[in-house]
Formats: sequence, structure tokens, C-alpha cells
Amino acid sequence: MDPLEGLRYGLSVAVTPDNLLAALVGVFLGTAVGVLPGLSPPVVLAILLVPTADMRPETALIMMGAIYYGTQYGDSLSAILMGVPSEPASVVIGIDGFQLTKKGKAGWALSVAAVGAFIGGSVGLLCLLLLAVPAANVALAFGPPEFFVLTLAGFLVLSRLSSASFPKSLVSLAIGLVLMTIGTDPYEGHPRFTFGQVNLLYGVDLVPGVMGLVGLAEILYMAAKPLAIVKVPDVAFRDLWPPRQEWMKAVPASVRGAIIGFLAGMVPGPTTTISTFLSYRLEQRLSPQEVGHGAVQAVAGPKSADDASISGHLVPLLSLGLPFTATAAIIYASMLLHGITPGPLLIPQHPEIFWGLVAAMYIGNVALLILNLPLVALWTKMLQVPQRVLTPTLVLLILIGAYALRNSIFDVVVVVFTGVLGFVLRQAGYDRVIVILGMALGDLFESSFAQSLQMGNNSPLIFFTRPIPAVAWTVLVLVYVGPWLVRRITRRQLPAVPEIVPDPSA
Amino acid sequence: MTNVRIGGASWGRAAREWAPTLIASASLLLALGYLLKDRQYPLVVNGQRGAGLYPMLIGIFWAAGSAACVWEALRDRSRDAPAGVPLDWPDGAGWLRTAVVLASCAAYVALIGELGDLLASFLVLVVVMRAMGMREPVRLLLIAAVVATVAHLVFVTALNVPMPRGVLDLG
Repeated sequence: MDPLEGLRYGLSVAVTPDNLLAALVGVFLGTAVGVLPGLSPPVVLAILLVPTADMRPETALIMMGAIYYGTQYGDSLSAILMGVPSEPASVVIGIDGFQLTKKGKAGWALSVAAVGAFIGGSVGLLCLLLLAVPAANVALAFGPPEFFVLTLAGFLVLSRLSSASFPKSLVSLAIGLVLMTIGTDPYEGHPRFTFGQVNLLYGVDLVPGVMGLVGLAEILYMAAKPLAIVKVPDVAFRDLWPPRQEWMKAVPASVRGAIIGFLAGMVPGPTTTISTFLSYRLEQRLSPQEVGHGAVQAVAGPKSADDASISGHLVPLLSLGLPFTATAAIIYASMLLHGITPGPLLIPQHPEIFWGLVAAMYIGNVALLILNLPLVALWTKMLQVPQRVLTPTLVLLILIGAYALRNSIFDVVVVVFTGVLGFVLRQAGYDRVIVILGMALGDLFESSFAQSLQMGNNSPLIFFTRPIPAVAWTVLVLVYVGPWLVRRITRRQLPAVPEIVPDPSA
Repeated sequence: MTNVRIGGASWGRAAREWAPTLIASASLLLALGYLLKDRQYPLVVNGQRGAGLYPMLIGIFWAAGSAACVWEALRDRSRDAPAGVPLDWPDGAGWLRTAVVLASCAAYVALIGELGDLLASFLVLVVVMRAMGMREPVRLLLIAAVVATVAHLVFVTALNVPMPRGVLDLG
């Protein structure tokens, strides 16, 4: 199926009343919850995962995709209107966005952010369409040693790029992998680390684990450090549309941001954040006099990069079955919840899921544009929900949601346990995203390790001698040694790069 | 932590200063415990990898990473801003609120079977809202009742989740 034919098929799957409704409700819910202060996109996805559990797989994934887009936009709203982003990726969107708000031009910032998100989403999905199928075809030739080394390489690249220190990243990864060794050994059927508990024989399920590590841990943090309510300006509908010359700056910036976002999104690590910073830095280079003082291009570019990176994350997830970000891991968990395993066989075995998801992401993207600007007054009201009502409601939602997964109190216990673990790790500066990825890929990692040893007659040389693992090892060496070498060579040659600091006088 | 001064030192500062070392040490102890437990499982069975081989490699990796974290924490202990440690350390009231939220989660797990989802939800909401600083009792009870009822209607009535019925026998 070529991309155009596939998209047509995907639209035939996605454009049903149920699925369209799922996309609209998803965008609405995602924005409504994402706009709430302190709730980043992975937290919102973790909380809203449960209502999709009983839906048909394609409808559930359409809704998850729409929630994801809505959440990303909701987070930008709090960054633009309050200067309080919930995740690092929105930090730079808030720099010039909040400057515009202070100048009474919040409507402009919200409009260019919405259009930037649309352009980023559209370009990203186009690239996804073109790249995912060839990538999956290449991946069909991969065997267990290739998957083992690629997963390991992904983990190590992620650890290198993580905000936590390298030893902390390694511990985070080990914790995720260790949690997945609990339960019955997949080859011998030997119970491991179950301490006689029947519930542990089936292991720690990824979904409650993610709900705890991301959702409950963040709620515990909100209880520990509640945010003060900030006065949000009223934004009238008539003030939303900026003049033509502003669009002339915002649209090209969005296209530039989209390309950066998609390319960065395919790399393991906090690449959404990196892509927004790269886009901001590019706009700063192009318009040094304007950026930092409330420039629309510095809102549109990073916002576009933010949304395009979503499609970038989906390439390794859908074609290789390797989620390398927290949000991709939650979508991965959602697919597993519906009995679908992402990977090279997804497209041949479940074309309705793959093409339906791509088409639905596009529908979600359009729904975001149609729905969000007219409802901007509602979103500004949502920003005023006091934490003393929000926090208890979220606690309840996560507890009921955990129970509703499999009608099991054990899942609630897992959420509480991983919530405490996530909170402790957060406070100590460990990277919870790496824990989640360790959990998401733990089973694949162990099975490909065991199968590879079997293939190589128990010799670990199989991880080094085949061509793809050899390339992956080379990339790893470059990632670890390359920056050090470049620094050594260019230490005295590069001019100083200006810091991204907003002008306090603006 | 509140800055309670005992013997010239403040608990808040001391806790913040030692927390990374303690957490890394706890991680190291857990990793060693994990490796000890792993010795119960065979490494090799009939010339093939046994159930204990992969956990052993992961356990060694965990222990080595934790040991490096202990070293890093001890090295950074005296610095004002240790690498990778968030500066937004909660105060005493913040820790108390976190403890209350956790206790209410534990109470929910313990009581949902007996009380049913509606009453257990109501109790969690009342306790956490109070801990978060809601003072007016009527408003608190009213909001808790509304939120618990809406959650019950959404999950039990709309999404058909068979939540425990409990003493009120509402399903």
C-alpha cells in the first residue's frame, strides 16, 4: 500500500461517527486537562488512559492521539497566559508568548501557537507517512540481536541526553528493567522475585506502572508544592487574529520548526524539548532584535516543532516497536492494553490501526484548530481551578482509573507503589522517563537477549559481529566520544552563543 | 522541611544535603538484595541461559550505577546546588500534605471493598481537600459529594466499570 492509498484507507477507517467523536472529545479533554497548571502531557495521557480501555482499538488510539495533541496545546496555553509551563518543552514557547500576553497581545500568541501546532502536525504526519512504511520494511529483516542492540543503543543515547546525571540515568534504566523481571520467567516458567505473592506471578503491568510513575508522582508533587493561582487576562475572540505582517513571520517559522521537530523527534531522548529550543535558537539567529521581546515567530516555530516531534516519536514506535519518550511509552501501553504489539509487523497485520491512527492524528490536528480558538475563554477559566479542588480530584481519578483497568485492587496497589517511587526519584533528580522506557521495553529486551544467545550458541559475539549491531555500536561510540572530541577540537574556534533569556524590561 | 534548629544545624538543610546520598545508598542496598535473591535462580540450565542470568546482569548494572550515584552524592554534598537535584524541595507543610495524600490512597485500597467506591471516594476527597487547605466545611462536603457522585456516574454508569458496591450497595 503506497502512502496515498494508505491515507485514503486510513481516512475510511477514521471517518466514522464514533471515531470523529472520539477525536473531538479527545482534543477537548486533552486541552481541558492539559491546560490545568502542573499537568504535563504524559501525566494527562496517563490519567486519561483508562476511559479508552473499553473502546475498539482504533477508536481508542484515535482518542489517545487527539488527547495528545490537545494536551500539548493546553500546556502551551498555560505557558503563554501565565508564563508557567508544565513541561520543559513549553518553556521557550512561554518566553515570547508571555511577553506578548504582558503587552496585551495574548490572542495573537494563542492564534499563532494554534496555527503553528497545525502546521507542525501536518508536516510531521506527512513525514511519518513517507518514512514509517520504509522503516518498518527495513525492520522486518531485523532479528533478536538487532533488536537487543538497537534497544540498548536507544537506552544509552537517552541516558546521555537525559537531564539527570549519567549514573542516575543508568540507575533509572536499571530500575525500569528490574521491575519487569518480576513475575514468571518467559522461557522456563520459573517464578522470579514474587515473594510468594500470586498477584506478582503475572508481573508488574506497564499501564498502572506508568500511571503511578508519571501520574500519581506528579500529583504527590502538586500536594507538596501547590502552585499559586495567577491572574489570567481575559482574551476576547476579536483579539485573536494578528495582522498580516505577523502571519508572514509566523508561517515560515512554523515550517522551519516543523522540520526541526520531526527530525529531532525520531531520536531517543528528551528531543521534544531539544527541538523547541533549537527552533527558538534558530528564530533568535534570524531575528535577534525581535525574539525575546514578544515575537510571534518565536511562539509559532517552537510550537510547530513541539507538535511535529509527536510524529517523529511515532516512527520508531510504529515501525520498530521502540517507544523512546514517556508519551510514546503511554501510547505503546495503550496499544498493548488492546492486544496490539507495535513493531514491523503492525502495518501488514493491522493496517487499519496504523493507517487509521495516521489519518486520525490528522483529524485530531484539524479538530484542534477548529475547537480550540473559539473555546479560548473556557480554557482561561480552567486555568483558575484552585489546587485544593484539583489535587483531590486527580487523586480520585487516578485511584478509580487504576481499579477500572482490570477491576483489581492489586493494580491500585501498583499505582501507589510506583507513585511513591516516582515521587522519590523526582525529588532526587532521577529521570522517570528512563524508568518508564525500561519498563516498556524490558520484556522485549530480555527476550531478544535470550533468543540472541540461543542463536549465537551462547556466545555474546553475536551482538557485535552482525552489520546492524556493528553500526549501532559505532553510533553509540560517536554519541559518547563525539561531543568530547568536537569540544577538544573547536574549543578556541567557536564564538560564544547568546543565552536564551527574555528581556526583563519588556 | 521546616528549618527547625537543633544543635546549630537545621533539619531542612541537613535532610536536603543528605537525601541524595541516602537515596543512592538505599538504591545500592536494594540492588545488592536483588542480586542476593537472584542467586536462588539458575544461571544456566542444560547449557542454555537460566532464569537467573538476565536479572544477574541487570542487578550488576544497577549496583554499579548506584555505587556511582553514592560517590557523586558524597562529592556534591557540600555544594549549594548538587548536579541534577531539583531545588524545589518542599517545606514541612508540603511533606505533611504528601503524607496525607499517600495515607488516603492507602485507606482507599483498604476500605473500598467494605465501603464501596462512592463512600471511599468521598472520604478520600474530604481528607485530601482538607489537607490542601480547604477550610469551609459545608463547601468541602458539598464539593466532595458532587465530585464523588460524578466520578461514580462516569465510571460505573457510563463506562460500566464494576466498582465494589459496599455498604450503600450502589452498582
